[in-house]
Amino acid sequence: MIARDLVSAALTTPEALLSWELPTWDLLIRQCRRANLLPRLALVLADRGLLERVPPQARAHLLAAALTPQRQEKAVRWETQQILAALAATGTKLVLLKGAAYVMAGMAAARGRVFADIDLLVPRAALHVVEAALMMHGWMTTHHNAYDQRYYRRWMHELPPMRHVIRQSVLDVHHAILPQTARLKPETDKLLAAAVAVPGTANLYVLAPEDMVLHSATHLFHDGELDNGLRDLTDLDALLRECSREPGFWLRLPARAAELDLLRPLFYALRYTRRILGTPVPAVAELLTKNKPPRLLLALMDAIFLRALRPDHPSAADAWTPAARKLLYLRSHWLRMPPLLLAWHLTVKALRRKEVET
Amino acid sequence: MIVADLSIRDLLGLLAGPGLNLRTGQFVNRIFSGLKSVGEGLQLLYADYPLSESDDFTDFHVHVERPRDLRRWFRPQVLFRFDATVPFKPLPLHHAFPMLEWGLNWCVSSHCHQYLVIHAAVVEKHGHALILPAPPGSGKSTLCAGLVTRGWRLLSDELTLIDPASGQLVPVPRPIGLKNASIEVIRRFAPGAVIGRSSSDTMKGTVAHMQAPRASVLCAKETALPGWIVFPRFIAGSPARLQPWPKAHAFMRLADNAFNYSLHGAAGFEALAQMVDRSLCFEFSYGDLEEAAALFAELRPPRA
Amino acid sequence: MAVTHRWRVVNRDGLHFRAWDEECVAYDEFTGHTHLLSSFAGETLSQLCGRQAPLSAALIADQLAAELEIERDAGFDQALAACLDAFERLGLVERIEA
Repeated sequence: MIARDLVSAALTTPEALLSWELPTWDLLIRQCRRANLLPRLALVLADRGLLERVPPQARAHLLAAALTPQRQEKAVRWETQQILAALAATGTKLVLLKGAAYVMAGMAAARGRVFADIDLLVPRAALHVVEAALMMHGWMTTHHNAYDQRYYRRWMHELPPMRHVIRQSVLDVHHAILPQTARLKPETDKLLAAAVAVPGTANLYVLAPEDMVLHSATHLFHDGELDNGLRDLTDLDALLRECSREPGFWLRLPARAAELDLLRPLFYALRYTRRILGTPVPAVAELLTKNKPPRLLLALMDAIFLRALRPDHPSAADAWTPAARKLLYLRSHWLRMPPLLLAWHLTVKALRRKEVET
Repeated sequence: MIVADLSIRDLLGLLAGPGLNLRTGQFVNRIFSGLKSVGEGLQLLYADYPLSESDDFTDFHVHVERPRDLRRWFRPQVLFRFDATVPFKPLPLHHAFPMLEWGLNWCVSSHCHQYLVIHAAVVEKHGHALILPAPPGSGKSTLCAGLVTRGWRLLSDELTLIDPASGQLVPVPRPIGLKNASIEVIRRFAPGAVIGRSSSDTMKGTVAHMQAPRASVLCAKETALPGWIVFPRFIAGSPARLQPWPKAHAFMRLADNAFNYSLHGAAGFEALAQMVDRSLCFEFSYGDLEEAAALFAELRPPRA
Repeated sequence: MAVTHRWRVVNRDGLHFRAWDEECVAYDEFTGHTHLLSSFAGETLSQLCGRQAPLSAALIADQLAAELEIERDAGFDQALAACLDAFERLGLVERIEA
């Protein structure tokens, strides 16, 4: 069977779906579900007035999936208010990241998006006072194992996730957008300084448009597990389309990437959103995004990403896909940690897994 | 075409090959399994169920198979797979058929959010539905099985599906799961009932499934409006007692028993409130199934 | 001098009620929570929903007593105060300082 990515085809040209046969719809729903993109597809079809023309059996699944983002949007607004109230006294500038930011800033990338946690960025110096304030308002740390605590606090870029005792909502508090041990070092202070206030709130911010794109790109192209790879790519596509309406965006974006040492992830982001989702990327942006990888490396990255960014479903995989995903996993660790630390970390993980199994 | 039209060889061949396209109410399940016990269970308990065409839309692709790891040689296990996802840990191999049943329930309760889904049995008589919400161990399945052998139509023994827009209850009739002592109780209560092989030592004790009445399967497309909401409780030796229950409390208990109430937000609140409005609400305790069935036969429907 | 703060429902448009006999259930769209309320509590919330402007506890008490046809006394006022505190904890109402 030929590996087919029906999801990106559906999202790029939804009108074409109307001529699809039922077995193809069947496979599309399954791939979408696996890629966590069923809600997004439902909204894309609804926005174009096409939902009524979808075969009823498939439509039922789309409508069912569309409920989750609707409910989550309300939950995020409530949760954000609670977080603001908890942290008001600390005087810290609170910058929301990712899904919660898209919702609070009313962005198109929020539509149809499903997410689990709320991500916050705070200055490193404020970390202790923020953690203390959150604990006073009912958030408890998770990952009580000493190794995990060290892993998060010293080596990664965040506190261990915090869970609210009553609401069970999870909060990830970051002090940087990449781990401290990573090879690239984008400066958090610059991101915080450029953050944009969310209208109608006091002390709530989101990243500037260019920074939002770069953050999303950096995570997608540094991550080891791309279960939600295509979903994250659709986020990037939505962000780029919306932000590109702002004059000067395509000049500011590569300049900012250079400033933050994030040119390589930006290169991949523009390359793969254009190839997979047809995102309109102007030629000038491509020219300004220097730091194109050497030809052989680029060929390897294409081979890896064009597979790993498909839905993680057997029907979308070919013989090389498992190897591609494995390589990506190794690459992400390589990017995140210096070699010695990496060796140590993988050893500890392997030993811990043995412990759990016996 | 129905399952009974297939020879056991053809049935097993479909399960091991392209899959068996089984219709349960409005849902189409494509079932894959190389296990004989699964095929035999399907042949016995799903005899009357329609089969769907292979080029039809399938709602749930499910696999009941042996895991592909080293343990297969010394500790035979069975795995339930929903398309590319494995939602549960494996179980001992001889629990394969119950695992299919639990898996099919999970498919509906986890994905069918076009409905408000309540963990409750629902049966129907003379156009009115009797909803029996209850946590496990309350005797709801025994009561449900008893009632459907005494003329009530089965909509479901586990999943009450409410269409939020119309308030109609949507059937998904499947074999009724019986546990431990209730297996023997139902055998005595309804000697003609078809009950499958028992699986012992499951998480729920000994489990077996009773075939849904043929009439219930044939009427699987007919929806019903709610008539009564009854919270059952089995207490050995207790006489059958039906006590009116305050509607506000019935509402809260129903919401507690719903899988996806919070997902539906305000629409879920309105749909549940409408259901409570339409129904007579009771708490019910019983110790003897005959007495219980007789009492329910006398239930007066709500005034229109 | 008595503190005169006033009370206001946080999310008037997002509150849904249904009453049966002596009790009612309320759904708050904002928090996603559902509450079971006595007729006293339900009527209190209903009074607050009826007005856009914040109300003082004394005014609510007068209106409530009239609606429920009960004499207003110390016990009544205490019950109302406890009710309003509970609503505040649940995120249903907020206190506006005078």
